[in-house]
Amino acid sequence: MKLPTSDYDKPNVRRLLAALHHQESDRVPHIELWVTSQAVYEYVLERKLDYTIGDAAEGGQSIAPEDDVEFATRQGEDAVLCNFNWRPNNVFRLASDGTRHYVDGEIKGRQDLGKLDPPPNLDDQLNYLERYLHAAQGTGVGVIANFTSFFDSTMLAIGVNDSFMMFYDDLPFLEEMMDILLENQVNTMRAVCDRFGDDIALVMVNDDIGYNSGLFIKPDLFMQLFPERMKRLIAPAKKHGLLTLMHTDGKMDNIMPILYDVGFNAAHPIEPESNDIVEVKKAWAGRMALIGNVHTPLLAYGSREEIEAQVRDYCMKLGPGGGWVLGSSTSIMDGVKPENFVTMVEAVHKYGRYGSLEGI
Amino acid sequence: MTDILKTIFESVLVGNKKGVSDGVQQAVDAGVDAGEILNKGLIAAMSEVGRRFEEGEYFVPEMLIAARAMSAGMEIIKPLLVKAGVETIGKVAIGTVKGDLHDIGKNLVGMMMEGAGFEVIDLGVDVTPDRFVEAARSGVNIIAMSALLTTTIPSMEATIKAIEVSNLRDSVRILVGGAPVTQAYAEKIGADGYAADASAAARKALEIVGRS
Repeated sequence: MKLPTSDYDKPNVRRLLAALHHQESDRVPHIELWVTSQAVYEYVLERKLDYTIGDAAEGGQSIAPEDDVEFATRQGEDAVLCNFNWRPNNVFRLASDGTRHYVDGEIKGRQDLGKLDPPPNLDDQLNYLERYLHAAQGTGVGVIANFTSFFDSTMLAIGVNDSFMMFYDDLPFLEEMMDILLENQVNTMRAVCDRFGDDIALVMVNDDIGYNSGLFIKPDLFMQLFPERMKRLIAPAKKHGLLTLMHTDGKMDNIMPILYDVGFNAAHPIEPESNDIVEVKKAWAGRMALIGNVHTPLLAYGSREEIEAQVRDYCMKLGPGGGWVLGSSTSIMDGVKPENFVTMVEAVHKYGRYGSLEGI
Repeated sequence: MTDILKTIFESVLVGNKKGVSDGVQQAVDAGVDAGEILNKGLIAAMSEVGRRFEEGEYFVPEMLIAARAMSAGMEIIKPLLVKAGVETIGKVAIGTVKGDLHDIGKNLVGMMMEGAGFEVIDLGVDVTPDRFVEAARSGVNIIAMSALLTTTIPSMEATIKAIEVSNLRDSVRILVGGAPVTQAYAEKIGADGYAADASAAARKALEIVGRS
């Protein structure tokens, strides 16, 4: 993609913030929270990268900040993500097609705490954010500080299956693990907000707490474990007046009120498999902004016409009044056709112009 | 229901593994028929677990600990069921499709199907279409496929095609599920059913064998 020349097509973090504040600007903003497809990056950048990109959440190398900002600038994407991940002791295996997948966690009880992977070095993380901010200077691209959390990271460290049973077998240990992870991420969040609170666009927390039926665990137990810890995690951002965004998979009916009460301002991605984003927006207009949810299988297997029609429909139904940012329903992974990704981006520029949208 | 079967039933519901083992052993020692222990104790309890899950009263942990407790009871009565020639209500071959190693959903579905009275043949993860074809050829009633990733769901369609090409399509019913799978996708690829969760999958399987 060529560098845009008009302000309308260029990235503008103020456009994103306006939408998150439930206001209209010039057009519907768009962001992608995770892009792990080398092919999509290289297609948009119109050049080969001299390194291999993996999924940072799975220990892979992210795209370099300078390349990521250029990627955003070319498409008019309004912000990029700088990750502050601590996902210890995840076990991965290669499938027969060479792809790498999470399969288990290593921390099966207190006896394994001695082998807990250490968190990333804080100075290195802050320096990486500084690189992002430097690269984004003058481009209009905002930088979102994204943090892994304590709930799903605990389950992944233990192994999802084992952790589900541990809610009954050894809840105190689960809570101990959550607090170990929380403590580190609170300190990281505080350091980011103290040093760069005026420079970052907003803060995001990435924690899968649900699936296609709703919460993973019983609401009364979840309420014992989650809200107060999450309030602690985002407290430095709230203190600094930053907007906060939460990523979780799952059916949102019972999850949105929890996120709202905790103090989040926006939710991602409102998975289309289990949510009607139009209905969710109607229910939460003016209170919680939404980011999502163009179905990733559509981006992988759909036609350009189908993608354009979907984006147009969303712009008409979700755009008016702000409160919505276009993005995919999960992430831009290998398998998403680069041409389809660009079609989605071009469609939101084509159909997301405020002043021409109908309301829901 | 006798007191001992009631104890087994209640112990499965709360995931009390030892309670189930003790209860089943006590029932066996008292001469209760293994088929009755299975049907009125274990399967009835798992059916109630499924109902509670679908009603939103139970969540994944409750389902898992109940299934674990049921398995403890099954270990005791399995040899007796075989000896008595008690037949299962059907055979299901289940697996996560090629290219995908995620097994939590697949395992949950397997447990709920076993809890519904099926013999479950777990093909594991990263299962090739050929392996599913082999299972179909072995005489199972149902093939159940799971996928978590957008990039691996095409393996479902490839597997259905492979079963068709092998002239086995009429001999098995095919169920699909997993995070990116929808009813529309299931219909598009020619599956016989889609289930959004483990309990619904077991219910679908029961419908297929005429036991709903």
